[in-house]
Amino acid sequence: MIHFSEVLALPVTDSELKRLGRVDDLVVDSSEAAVQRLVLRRGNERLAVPWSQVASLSPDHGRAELADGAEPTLVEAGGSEGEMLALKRDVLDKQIIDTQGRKVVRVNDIALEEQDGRLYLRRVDVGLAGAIRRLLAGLVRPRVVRRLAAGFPHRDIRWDYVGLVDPRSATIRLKVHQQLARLHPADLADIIEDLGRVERSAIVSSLDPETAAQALSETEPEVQAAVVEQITPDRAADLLEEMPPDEAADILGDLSEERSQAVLDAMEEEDADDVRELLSFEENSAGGLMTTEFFRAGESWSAGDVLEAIRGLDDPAVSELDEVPVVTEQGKLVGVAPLAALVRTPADAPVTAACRAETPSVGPSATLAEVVSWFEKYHLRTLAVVDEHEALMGIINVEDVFTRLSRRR
Amino acid sequence: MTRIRWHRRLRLQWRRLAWLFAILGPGVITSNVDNDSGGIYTYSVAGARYGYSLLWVLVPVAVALVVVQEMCSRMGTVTGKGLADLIREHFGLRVTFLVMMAVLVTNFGNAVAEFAGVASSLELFGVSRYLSVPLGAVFVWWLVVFGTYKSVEKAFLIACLIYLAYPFSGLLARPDWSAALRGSVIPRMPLDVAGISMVVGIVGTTIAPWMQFYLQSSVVEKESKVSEYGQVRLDVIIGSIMAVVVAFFIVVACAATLNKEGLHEIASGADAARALAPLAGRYASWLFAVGLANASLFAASILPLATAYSVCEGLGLEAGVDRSFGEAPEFYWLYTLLIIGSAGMILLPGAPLLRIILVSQVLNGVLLPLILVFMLLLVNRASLMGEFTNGRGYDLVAWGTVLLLTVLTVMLVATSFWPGAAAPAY
Repeated sequence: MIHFSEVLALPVTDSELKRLGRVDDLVVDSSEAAVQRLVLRRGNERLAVPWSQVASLSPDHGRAELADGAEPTLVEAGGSEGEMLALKRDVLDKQIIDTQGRKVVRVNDIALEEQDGRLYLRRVDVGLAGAIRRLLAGLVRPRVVRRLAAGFPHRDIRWDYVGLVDPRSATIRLKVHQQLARLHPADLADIIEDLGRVERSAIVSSLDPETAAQALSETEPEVQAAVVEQITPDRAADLLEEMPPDEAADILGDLSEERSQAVLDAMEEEDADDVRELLSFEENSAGGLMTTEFFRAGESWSAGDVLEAIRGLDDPAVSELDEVPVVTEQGKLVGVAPLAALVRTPADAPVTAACRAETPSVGPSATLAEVVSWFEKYHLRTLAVVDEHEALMGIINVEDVFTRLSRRR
Repeated sequence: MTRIRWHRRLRLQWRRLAWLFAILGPGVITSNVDNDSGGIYTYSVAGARYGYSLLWVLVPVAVALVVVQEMCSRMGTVTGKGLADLIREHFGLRVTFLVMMAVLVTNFGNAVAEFAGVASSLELFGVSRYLSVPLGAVFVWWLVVFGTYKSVEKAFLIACLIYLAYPFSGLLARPDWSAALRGSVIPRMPLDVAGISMVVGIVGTTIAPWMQFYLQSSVVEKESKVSEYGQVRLDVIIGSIMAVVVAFFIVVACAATLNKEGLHEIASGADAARALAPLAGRYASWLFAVGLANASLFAASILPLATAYSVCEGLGLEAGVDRSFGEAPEFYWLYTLLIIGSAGMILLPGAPLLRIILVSQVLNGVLLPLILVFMLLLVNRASLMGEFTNGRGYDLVAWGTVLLLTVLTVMLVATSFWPGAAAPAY
């Protein structure tokens, strides 16, 4: 096991031990994480040597030796490494995502392992021990550094579980993407909150819209607005289309007039209309709390029809379905049927037989306090919002009320 | 009809006030903490010795405060990262570590001075330091460990309001307003060692390294949008003006009383408060002492917190009051030990308080130019700040300010070894 901290600034010599410069960086490929090139610095020049031409790299001997006939080539400043990753430039001291521990950490050191003559990137060190190695490297002998560092808490992450925040290469981006998509949206949300501005947009843009939307809806409202403001209106539109219209409206309501207009224009017509309607209500009114995307049953259906329809639903929101509003053909609210009552009603009985005895509803301008009092009084999980003709406009879920109440504190 | 209209107007006004409170935050808090026990002492001495004649110094101080803090809050808003984070990413671990160790020692000294302020101001009300300091320490610790960001910010903003005690105290001292006005607009420089060191002291106590770290981290934590940067900047400007207005009234209060009666020497902020009683009345004295107690306690809560934040941030350790003790043990231990250590110093008989404060002041002086230069380099990096780097004219002002501050701070350090200079004695 070789630590990157011990390698950095090591003198580099040719095969006749003539000094060429110092180690400046190691470049690994992104698929295998094997070291491909060594970059050395001579004065203001940076030179690259293919790994095959490096005869030995040994911190204990205090130098890196190049093979016979090795020819370092000049590296142009600002040149891109393509599918490559430069350890010092891209990894060391940078924030990364520990996809197993599900948090953002900073890289103190990097562990490399030699295998069959090749050097592989194995782990990144994020603990105090790595920091101590970095601080003392070059000041005292490597063996002493190792002994000292051993006395400090050691924390490292396998390279397979490292998510780079600002991945330059497509392969890495894919790897990060696959790992992040496996995380729970709430964990992903915590990670997004811990990152800087640029990194946030990079992550949100590299995830697929559905995952990104789920994660974003779990973050704090300020973070949502800040993220949506930073990404392009097209990308923002993709995200908001994946969200329930009420959440999308809340986010847009926090943006500037022009910005939210630009995002709305980029959204699909139908989704944009839903959101526009919700935006016209005040945030803390029933209209501002309700969602307009929900499942409803027809008055003439049987209880069995309703359950069958729910089984056939293809919508992530179905997991939050607790109570089913029942409407006439003209869209007037007839009643609300709790799921448990539907299950217990004979399949051929009319859906109205499963409805609650009372059918509370509010107008879109009802205040939050009014909404809360209905929920309390009837132990509701869903409250219907109707217009002046008793037509069903939307529903308020108990989760939406919880979220709003907890944010007011 | 009238009732409704009245109601509406009240609601509108309330909204406007709420808007003001929503933007007030990091900038106002940071600038006000700057008027801590050391600051209050320095301003008191300036008023007692030089009357109204040094008030003009506060004008350039306000400008420097705005310029430096504006850059920090801009970096925080644009990058979403703290200053320690940025230094780490751009200048490496070793530089960061050295800076952080200096911040640690400096702020420990500052925190000791704050608890000394708590002790001496409450002793004016007959409260023993063996009661006030431990209670103050526990309160401060409890506030941060068990409070949320929002509740802590609210508590801090209330503490900022208590600074209004100084304007009242100043008014009660019945100052000579025409002399105060003359002193504010006509720059007159005393040309002896003590006088120069006084001017340097006023500027030097106003801008400290820890402020930049604290301000930038809290701007990041507040999650302001880049498009709303105007509000963030307004917060910084309001804060700087508030801090300078408070300083103005401290100088005025002491000029109108102590200076006029020939009491030129005071040994601490609490001493100034005591001396005010026979000259400006009991209430002026009480207000002055309440202000001092508040300022010291306020700074004692923020300094250890800011230190723990920036040290952990820079070294890549988990930090933040929203994390649990188990998640961020280094952060909480550092914070706790800083409070216990600095409060303990006050209670320990024979502890070398003056030496600690002196060492921390010297380190402060060494550290400040370094941090300011890092800040300017970072804020002008296009790869980091995009279109938000300094404009050319502004950059000139910023470098000028940094240069001037560097010269003055070096002078402050030098004069603190000078016999007869106004070395703070808290």
